[in-house]
Amino acid sequence: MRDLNLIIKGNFRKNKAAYITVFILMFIVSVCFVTVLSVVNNTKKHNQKAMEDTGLGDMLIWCGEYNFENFEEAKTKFNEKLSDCNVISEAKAIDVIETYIPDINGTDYGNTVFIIDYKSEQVSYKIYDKDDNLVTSPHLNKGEIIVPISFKVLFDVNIGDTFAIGRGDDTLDVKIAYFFEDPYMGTYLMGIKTLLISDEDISYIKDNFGGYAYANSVLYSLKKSDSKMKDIEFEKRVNRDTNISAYAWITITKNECSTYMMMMVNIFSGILLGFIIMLVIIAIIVLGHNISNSIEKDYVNYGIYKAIGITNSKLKISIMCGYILTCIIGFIAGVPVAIPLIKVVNKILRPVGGTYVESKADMVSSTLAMLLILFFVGIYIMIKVARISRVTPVMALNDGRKNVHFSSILKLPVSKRFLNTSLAYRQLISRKKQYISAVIITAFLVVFMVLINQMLSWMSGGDAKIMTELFEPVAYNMVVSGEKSEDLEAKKDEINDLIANESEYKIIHATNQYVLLDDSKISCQIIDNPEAIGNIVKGRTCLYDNEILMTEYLSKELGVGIGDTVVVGDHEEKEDYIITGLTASGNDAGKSFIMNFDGYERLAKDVEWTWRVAYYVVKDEDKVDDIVELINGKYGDLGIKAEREDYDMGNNPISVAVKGISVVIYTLSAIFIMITVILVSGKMFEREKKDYGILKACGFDVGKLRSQFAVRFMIASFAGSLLGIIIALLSGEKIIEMIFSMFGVMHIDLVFGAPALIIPVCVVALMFYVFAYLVSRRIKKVSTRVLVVE
Amino acid sequence: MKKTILEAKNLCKSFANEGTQVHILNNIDLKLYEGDFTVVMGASGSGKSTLLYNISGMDKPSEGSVIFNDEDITGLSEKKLAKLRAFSFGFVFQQIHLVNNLTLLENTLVPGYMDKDKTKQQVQERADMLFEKMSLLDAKDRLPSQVSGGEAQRAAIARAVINEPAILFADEPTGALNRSNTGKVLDLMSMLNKEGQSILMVTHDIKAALRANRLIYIEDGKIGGEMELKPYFELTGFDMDSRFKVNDNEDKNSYQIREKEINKDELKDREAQVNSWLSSMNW
Repeated sequence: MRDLNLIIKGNFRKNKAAYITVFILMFIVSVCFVTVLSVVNNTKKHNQKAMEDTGLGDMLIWCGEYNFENFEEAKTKFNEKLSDCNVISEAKAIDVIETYIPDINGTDYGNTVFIIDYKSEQVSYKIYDKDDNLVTSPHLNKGEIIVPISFKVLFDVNIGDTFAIGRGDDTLDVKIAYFFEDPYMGTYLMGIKTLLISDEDISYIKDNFGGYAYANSVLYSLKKSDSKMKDIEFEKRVNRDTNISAYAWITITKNECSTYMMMMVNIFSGILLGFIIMLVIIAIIVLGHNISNSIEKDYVNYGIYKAIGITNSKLKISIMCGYILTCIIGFIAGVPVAIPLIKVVNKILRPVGGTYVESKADMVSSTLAMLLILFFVGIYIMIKVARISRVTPVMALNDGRKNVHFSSILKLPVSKRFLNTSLAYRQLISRKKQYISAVIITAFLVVFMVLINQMLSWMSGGDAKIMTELFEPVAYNMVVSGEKSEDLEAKKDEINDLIANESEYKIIHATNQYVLLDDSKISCQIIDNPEAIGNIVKGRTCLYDNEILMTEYLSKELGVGIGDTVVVGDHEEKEDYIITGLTASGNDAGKSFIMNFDGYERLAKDVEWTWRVAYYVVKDEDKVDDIVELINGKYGDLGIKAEREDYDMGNNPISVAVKGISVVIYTLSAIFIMITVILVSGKMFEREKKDYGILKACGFDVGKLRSQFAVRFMIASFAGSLLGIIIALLSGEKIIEMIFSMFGVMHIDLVFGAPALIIPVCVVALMFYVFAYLVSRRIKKVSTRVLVVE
Repeated sequence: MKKTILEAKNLCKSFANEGTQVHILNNIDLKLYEGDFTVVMGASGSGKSTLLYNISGMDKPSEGSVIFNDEDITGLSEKKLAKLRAFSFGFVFQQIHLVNNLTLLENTLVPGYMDKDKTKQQVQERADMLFEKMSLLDAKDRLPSQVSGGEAQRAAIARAVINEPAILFADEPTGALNRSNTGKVLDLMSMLNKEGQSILMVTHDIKAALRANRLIYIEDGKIGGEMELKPYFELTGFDMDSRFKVNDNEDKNSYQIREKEINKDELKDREAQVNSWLSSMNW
């Protein structure tokens, strides 16, 4: 044992740089892993607990007075039905006011909001002040409001800001007093939002607002009698027994809320975890490189050890212990650094996720993950150190070096015009193996960079249209809206003629309605021009009144497909519809279907279509701005407004997060490239010292030699980039689909834009060149005297 | 009157070794003349290799100056020194230092290609000419690990003279070679000297020293003495063209057989002259 200790100490002393590199790599892996795992698990646990603490149940149903002739009577009837339903253990009916927010900070918010008396005893929310401190039972004055934390990013507002609630002339100015945590609907991703105001303001709205600006609603909160029952079964059973959802504005289950609430965290952490796993693979490759490098450097020492009778297994164990110990120290060192990072990430994600998650390290899952990594590292080290057995003492004492004999089809002649590059290339191909790790690492990094770049291109510019198509049935490029639907209706023909003078166009009217589909309340997009639907991946559009299109996600969840019949219901009407096609829409997290006007009229025979908004697909994209100007100039006074849809996601959290992830990916890539260059070049310097001396004696200056050295890495990075691009082209679609499946988008036709492919290749090549050039300053120290035998 | 091409003045080189200064070169004054084959001899540790590397710009002297083309090269920047090594000085080392992933021809072409004033074709023609003279045409596309030591060292000489340097510096160029290859390499150097190439060679081999027309003896970092000889190529029977076209399959005695072609008496006299001078230098 003492001899083993001495050997390990000796190894540490001799290969300090190698151990430090492994430490740094594992430290980075540890920081990333602990941070991401802690954020995900903390959020998951916190959200579950927070849901329970609100006192709300497994299914929430909003019913508005506009659906009933006698609302009070209907409430009584439903209360009875719900109490008779034996799958429900508890049913709460919470009075809410349904109203609107016309505009906050210049952002037009199209969704309905629900207002609850903040003193309501039926629901309990946690309230926070400006500094994110929990406030117990705060006093809320008249004119003050408590909003979900996601308002911060949705509308760029903070405590003290004011906005109006209501519609038209019936509005009430309110001042944000606090934020609250809504674990059911607080996420940035959900359009539906709950707000808390004082009972005085509720009375004011009821007394002063007209029906156009508000509606009385009731929020039913239902708890399951059997906690093992699946939410979807529970929902169907409740709807079958009570038909309550047919009259509801929307229903949502606890599981669905949980999925929405975790969606952003899951997506970002999923991308980061994928990247971190890649970092682990890279770290293992680098580790392997390190080990073979140190074995090569220590060839003579191993020969001596063997000559004095130290066994192969002891030598192997000594190396393994050294590296495993370094990994463990790296992991442990990463934890204290991860803790403040968890706080930072939580702070960033809070307004997006909508909940106030604790910032503590999840040591259980982190330790398990680290042990798993250590296990793989251990196996890998065992494989790498196996070569020690093949070293005979004589071979080792002779330094084990072999002459260069290479013949390669890749060999190119030395060129006069490109002398430095051709020499660099020759050096590269004559020792290809040295660069394998650089090539593999580049390939991995490029795959991620290409994917993140592609996602970035979807956030703005021309490619952003693709993102829009994923969430809207039709990718329109102009919207015309009127303050009053009758004004828009009156001028519609004139506006259409005006557009037709400039370009061909398609006009689309669409609305969204939650209806029952096989006893589940599902978002239904109703469209008057089904031929314009752009994201059909299988089958055809819904041309007839008994046809629907369904998202792939929903079709999978319901277990139905093209040609199958489903029952769609609203109020007391129920009709059969045939599924004619599948779409790749992320609308309502993929849980949506589409029918045409005629289809919906089967359910609501006396429906009157009045429109405040019309969507246009103007064929000549260049004319859109002119048309917008014309319409606004001519009809602006009537409250009719035309806007170009530029698809730019601007500073919305998805865009910001993707940008943030790209910064993380590029930064970590730079670190890994630097480490790779340091490791690979360490081995090369040892081997090529004499060559530098020769070339210096031939008249090459240090600058040229350094440039040759750096060019080799650049060429290797091009080879890796090529591999990376091939991998990205082959698997990128699947990876992106995997990410977007979390949004409910199951199918993406991925066409990489040239910048998405070229930028990573150039960035990686530049990084390799710069780092290799910096590292190559060691060439300065190589004197031509290395060639001299004294 | 011979033309001076390089002059070392008060050249000193010393190292600090465990607190004490070790002086390798002590105030050496030396001139190298155009067209001379100068050989520096001396015992091991006398400072002969240090002298070679300090006057050739491969190392920096502790004191003194080295004037080449009216310029003191001891103060030149790394870039200017690199240029000097590329176009004005050629080097041949004791160990055969060729870049092992380049063929013999490529090793020679690389410094040639650095000369922007020459076309690729001109460089290749000169390399071909040198390879033909050195009987290396068959081996030109082989890697250093695939040829004999003699062939590799000849290629190293070809590389050293590809840019027609003003001076060829050779540090024990035959030190790592067998007798047969030693002869071929020395013949090659004599041939280059005959063509006007100035050479400064360091050696402790008397056979090699016989090639010089000027011998310098170094002792304890100082010039102990020097002697002049008539150029080797002027010996009766020295026919470079027939002598150098050697066959690599010849046995190891071939060099001795060929040496017989030179007038035996003249060679013996020369050897005796050198031996006597070396004895006077306490060799």
